[in-house]
Amino acid sequence: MKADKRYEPVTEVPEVVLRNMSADTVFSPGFSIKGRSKAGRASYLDMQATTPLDPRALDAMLPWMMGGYGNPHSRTHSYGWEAEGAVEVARGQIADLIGASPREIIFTSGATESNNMSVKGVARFYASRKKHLITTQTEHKCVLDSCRAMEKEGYEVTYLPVQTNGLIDMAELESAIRPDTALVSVMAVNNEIGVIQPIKEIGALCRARKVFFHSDMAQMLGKLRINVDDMNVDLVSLSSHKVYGPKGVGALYVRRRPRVRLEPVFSGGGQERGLRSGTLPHNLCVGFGAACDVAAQEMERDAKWVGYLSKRMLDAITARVPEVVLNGDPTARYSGNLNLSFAYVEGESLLMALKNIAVSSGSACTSASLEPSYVLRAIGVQEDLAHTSIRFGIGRFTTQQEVDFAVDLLAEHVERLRSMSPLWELVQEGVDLKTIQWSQDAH
Amino acid sequence: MKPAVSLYRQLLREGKKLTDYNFRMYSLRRVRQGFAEDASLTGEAANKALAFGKDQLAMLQRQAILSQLYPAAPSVMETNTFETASAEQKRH
Repeated sequence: MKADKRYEPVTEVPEVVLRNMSADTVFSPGFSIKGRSKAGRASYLDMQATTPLDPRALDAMLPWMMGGYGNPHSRTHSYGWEAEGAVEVARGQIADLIGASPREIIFTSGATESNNMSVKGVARFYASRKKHLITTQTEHKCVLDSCRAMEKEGYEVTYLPVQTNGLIDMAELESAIRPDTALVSVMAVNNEIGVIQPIKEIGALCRARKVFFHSDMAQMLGKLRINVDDMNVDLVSLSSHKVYGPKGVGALYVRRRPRVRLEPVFSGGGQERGLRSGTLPHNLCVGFGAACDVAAQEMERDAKWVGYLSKRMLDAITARVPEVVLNGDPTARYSGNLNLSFAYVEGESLLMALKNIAVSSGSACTSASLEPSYVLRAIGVQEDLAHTSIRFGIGRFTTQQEVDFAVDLLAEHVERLRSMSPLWELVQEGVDLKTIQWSQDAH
Repeated sequence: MKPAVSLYRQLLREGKKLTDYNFRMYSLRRVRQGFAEDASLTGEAANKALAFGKDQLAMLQRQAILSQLYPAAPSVMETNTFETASAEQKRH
């Protein structure tokens, strides 16, 4: 069973065990889930990790992967001019979706690069006068890691804690801003728990205190309205593959008035106004642009559909499964992200039983480790609940049947796992687990 | 037959050819919804909606061919069989 990484043995497995694993005989009825999962490709419910490429975006890309192979930076022939024209159309489509001017859009390889560029670029450019950065504990790893890198370069970083609903405390942010603060970086929609930070208030505060404000809006783009002027953001990281576009491309919005200056991370031919050297992957840029154009057309329909499915799923789960906790603020959230904790269930067993649906226990970056997510720990989720959390991502292409199927599977397997859990039995008898003294030698 | 009715039928026919379960279901849902939304349009607005629909039909025809060239594996939502342990082993 090598292909399924979750079953990968740590030590050598005796041959007799391997034989039993591949046998059709069920050795322990009641415990085994052998033969209970359906055949076929798992239903995809992990839209925060990535989204499928919309056929409309693919259709726009294909001509540029065939005859239109010019280098968009070539100035001496029509191959280059045509490719450049296509890139500029895409730049306009992206700018339109966030209420910016096309000249403020810099293409990058994705939101990770955009986040690196913003944090490191601003910090390095203003290093002679500023020495302080502010971010939150629930940011994406690439922002946190960039901040760590800047600490090594002599910057001080404040990692703001979040409240138990996942939102930052505005008063705390206000008191954290210092005269030498260069940048505040707060993500708009959290990738793990889906809560929406008060971006507008943060933007107004940063503008009043004359601090640059960067926001990672990869999870917000195309799902909720973004207007960079209303929100007063100076830098915005965007990603294509979260809006049904191709992977490998993203963008950074860099405000021109008042101007934000960055030190480029890449040195080279000076493309993208010198901020990001390197030949643009014009077919990916076109796909990203087309995906943004589709998102602009479909935003209302998508929001209605995702909201409907999300409510249907949450209502059905809470009605059929007791002791479920929704992580993060119940209202200030993007409905397509449901991060649920199932108490008294062993998380890994549950994920294995849910083989027919593709879900994750948190972000894809950290799902390989057995450590509970740092985002859930930051919002104060108890370790046992953090271990049993599952993130459901609903999107444009999710069907109602898939949602119902997922709910059925969950209800069945949570009940099955609880029925064999001694903890669940104790809870049913009315024992408060916190009062139990588990070890005999504790004095 | 009215041009809108013909376009509607053609769009649904092409949508059904998509091999990916999710794209197919979406295209059918989106086509029905789009026509329901625009049912009351007349004159210039109706012509604009029809032109948009024709572009979408051309796109859908190309994508339907592509999806048959690289067919998606059937989704768990389309199958009604259960995986046996030995079948699972063979697949890996």
